[in-house]
Amino acid sequence: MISIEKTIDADVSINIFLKTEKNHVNLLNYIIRRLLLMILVLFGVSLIVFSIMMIIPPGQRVAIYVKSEKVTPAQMEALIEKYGMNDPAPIQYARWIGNIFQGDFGYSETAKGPVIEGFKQYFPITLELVLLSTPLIILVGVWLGTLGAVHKDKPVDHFTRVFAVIGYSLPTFWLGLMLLMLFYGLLGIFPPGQISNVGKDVISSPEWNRVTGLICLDGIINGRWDIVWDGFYHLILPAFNLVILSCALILRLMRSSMLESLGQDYIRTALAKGADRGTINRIHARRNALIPVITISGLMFAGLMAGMVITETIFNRKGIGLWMARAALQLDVPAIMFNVLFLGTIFAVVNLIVDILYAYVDPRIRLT
Amino acid sequence: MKKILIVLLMVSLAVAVFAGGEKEEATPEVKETAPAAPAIKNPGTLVYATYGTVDSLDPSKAYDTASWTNIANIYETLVAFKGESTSEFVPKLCTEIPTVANGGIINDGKTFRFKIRKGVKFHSGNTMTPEDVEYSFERLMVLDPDAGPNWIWYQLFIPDLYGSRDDDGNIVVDFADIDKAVEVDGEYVVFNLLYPAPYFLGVLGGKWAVVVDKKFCIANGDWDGTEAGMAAANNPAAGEEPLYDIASGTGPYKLDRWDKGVELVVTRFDGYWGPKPAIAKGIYKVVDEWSTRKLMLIQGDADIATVDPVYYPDMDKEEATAGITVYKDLPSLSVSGFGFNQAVAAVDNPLIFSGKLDGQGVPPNFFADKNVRLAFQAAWDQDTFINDIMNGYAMDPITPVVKGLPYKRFDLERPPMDLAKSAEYFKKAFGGKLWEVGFQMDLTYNVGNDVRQFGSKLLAENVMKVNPKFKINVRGVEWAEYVNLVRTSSMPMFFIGWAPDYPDPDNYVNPYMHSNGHYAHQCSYSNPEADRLIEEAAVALDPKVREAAYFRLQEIWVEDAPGIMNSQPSSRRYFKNWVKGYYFNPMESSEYDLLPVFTKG
Repeated sequence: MISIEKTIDADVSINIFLKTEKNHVNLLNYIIRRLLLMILVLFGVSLIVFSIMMIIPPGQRVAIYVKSEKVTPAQMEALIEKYGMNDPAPIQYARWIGNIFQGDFGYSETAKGPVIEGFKQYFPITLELVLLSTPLIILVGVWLGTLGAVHKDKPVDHFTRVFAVIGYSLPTFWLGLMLLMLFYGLLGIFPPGQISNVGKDVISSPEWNRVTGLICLDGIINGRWDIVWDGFYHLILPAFNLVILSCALILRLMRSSMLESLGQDYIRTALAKGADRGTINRIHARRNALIPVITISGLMFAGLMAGMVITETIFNRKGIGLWMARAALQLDVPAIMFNVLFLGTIFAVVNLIVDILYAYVDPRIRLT
Repeated sequence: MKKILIVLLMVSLAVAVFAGGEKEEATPEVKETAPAAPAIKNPGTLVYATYGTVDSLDPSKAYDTASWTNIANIYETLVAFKGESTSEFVPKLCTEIPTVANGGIINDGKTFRFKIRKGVKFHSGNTMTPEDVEYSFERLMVLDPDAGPNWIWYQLFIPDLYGSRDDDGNIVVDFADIDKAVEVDGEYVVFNLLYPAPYFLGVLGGKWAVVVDKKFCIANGDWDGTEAGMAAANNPAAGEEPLYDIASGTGPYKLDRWDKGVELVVTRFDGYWGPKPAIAKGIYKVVDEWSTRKLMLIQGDADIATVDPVYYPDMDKEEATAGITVYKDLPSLSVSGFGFNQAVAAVDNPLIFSGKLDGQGVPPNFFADKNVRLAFQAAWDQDTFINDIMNGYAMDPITPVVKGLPYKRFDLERPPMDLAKSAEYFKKAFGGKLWEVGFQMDLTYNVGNDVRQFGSKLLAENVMKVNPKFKINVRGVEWAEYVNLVRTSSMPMFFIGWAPDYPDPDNYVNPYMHSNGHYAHQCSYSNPEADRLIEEAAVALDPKVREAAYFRLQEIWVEDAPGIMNSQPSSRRYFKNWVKGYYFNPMESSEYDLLPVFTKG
């Protein structure tokens, strides 16, 4: 009997193992396929953006190299010639692609250096803020959305709805300036910038081990808690700004999704079987309600990477959003092209991660 | 879980609020000795908050005030402007100002001899020699990057050239000409000019005339000082100038770091030959947003902040309580106005619409008719412009020669605004046909410049009042489009400004009135008498000859009306009131030029 049971267990184990193994292979294939597709997508995106840039005449694209109203037409012609802007578009594109394969993304006038150096400088500044803000936005949004749904049509629900409407309606620049005036201008706390002058001296010194470019994380790696605090202190206000502005979307989505979940049969069944309301809300309803929130959170993360121009301007954080805006305004073609490809990659990767997360959150979804 | 989260958030916020700000805030000494006085933030460090991005630290490339104001603290020139004066000089890296009397100016004003100061160290530790001075000036002409400032040296030293290359990019300058332009004679450096240039000392006072460290340059891949090395060194690409982001000057501050687009930090050079500056560190901080800059100034995190004229009224409200010192009514040497293009590009040019005198556009030679120019001039409301648009922060220059320079005429009068007179001129233009059929065209300005936008609208509306058949579209163009329109000479009329390269009337009448001058050429303005007078005055050593020429040129401007000069702005400088030592020189790149002079407290 015992041996039979063992045999049955072994069969089950083998089946589970094979199934799991098959799932892993499927998942791996899926990821590889998506990554290969991503290369094609990025190639297409680069072609479209480059074509659009080529519609702009060389006389305008050369403006990035012209600093003074005193430049003469002859000097401008020389610049156009020097940077090959009169060459046919396919040749310019081929030259650009060829350089990329050699690891050369070009020179960015707005970053005042090679594009890749500009990226190394600006990206961590944005990433640090996004990494702090996104979890807060999601947590606050999910928490308030759940509260609103559980207490539907009660004062808490009304409050969260009003909060969401106000947060979503406020212009970014207005809220940012108000926060800055209140906390920095009036109370003298949370100054703009990414770090204090003293802290900047420390992270610019040869002794500083710059691993990630994220001030707080590098501070931990270097064992400098004063720098960790310094960086965090400068993140608080811009992060607060983003949380107020961005959590409304998650909040509203979570509320409606939660309400839908709470109306499902299995919730009623659980209630009928005597499960307590808190467990039902947390375990049964909220977990299912999170699926659409995951999608939006992924897109929001990617969107924040590109769309923080105003927040970065007001809080004087020279991040990638500000760089992109400047590059676009000044027709800094190498910077625009690189950032378009980078953001395309971010969106594609984030979508891929979201799809994979789906499979774990909802086992009914199969990635094939 | 959520409770833990809330607690964590609250604790973080509470700690942040009560932590009391940044590390470098008020020192205990200040608090103890002067408890009632405002605590000085960042003692020993001066922070300048502004919005100009530094382009390059290489003197051969830098041609913007943001770069120049930083170069001013790292490098030094042979001579410097004396205090607030634009016509008196003090020696810097030379030991005395050359004059005819001391034998420093010879050969009828075509040769200048400078005795070079001894015992001056570069930041690298190298000792400055006359060879460094010679190398510095020859290097400018050898490198000569695109759109750099080096045309001035070619104009002064090299026959018939304004740059090292032809239109196809081939090097056309003879190295022998560069070599003999600046020579070492023992402990002297000798400049051999093509012609006597009365403004030469003013040119040498500019930030484009700084002395670089020859050994340091060569060690960092710069021009090797030979003819053979010229081709490789000529016209480096943007960002690849050898001294783009490294520096070894003789100035009181050495480059500490430059985070591109963020901040540029200099620290006091202990080996400086002159008086030691009080400020140990200078931070040029880029803060684009005005409200943020303003709060930084008020909070004392910035010691100096750039304030645009449009925000002067805003700052007036803060002046009494914010602990700031304001220097007002500082006469800038820049000048602005409208230019009339007398030969507009006719092909595919939407700015002149039909391109014909048919009421649906303007012909390319629209402004070649003097009556049209005079009609526009008579429609211009100067008083409203100065009082309501410039808020009174400007003077009326009438001509391109500005107040604050020699040979400015104050007896000339601007024709008053008179729409009836304007109509008279319009009726005479093009044999009366213009009045009958009317016209349509664009008037352009660069986007973001509100003064130019409102000024353009003011003129357009007045002209359109004269005859309902006249249509002027005021059009803002982005910088990129603007550059393209300049390149193709497409703008029939535009609002533009000029900042001086050197403080001499020549640098104003030449661009605006000489047929080969910058704007005159763009506008196809040509007057043989003006050309002759400009060329004569540029080389005349006799002040009376120069005065007569510049006086007559200003008359010609009023007679010919090639444009409408409308403003010489007066500006302001805003300091935290613990910063002392500022004085205004119109040739300053910014107030930050005076970093070595400032004290805090």
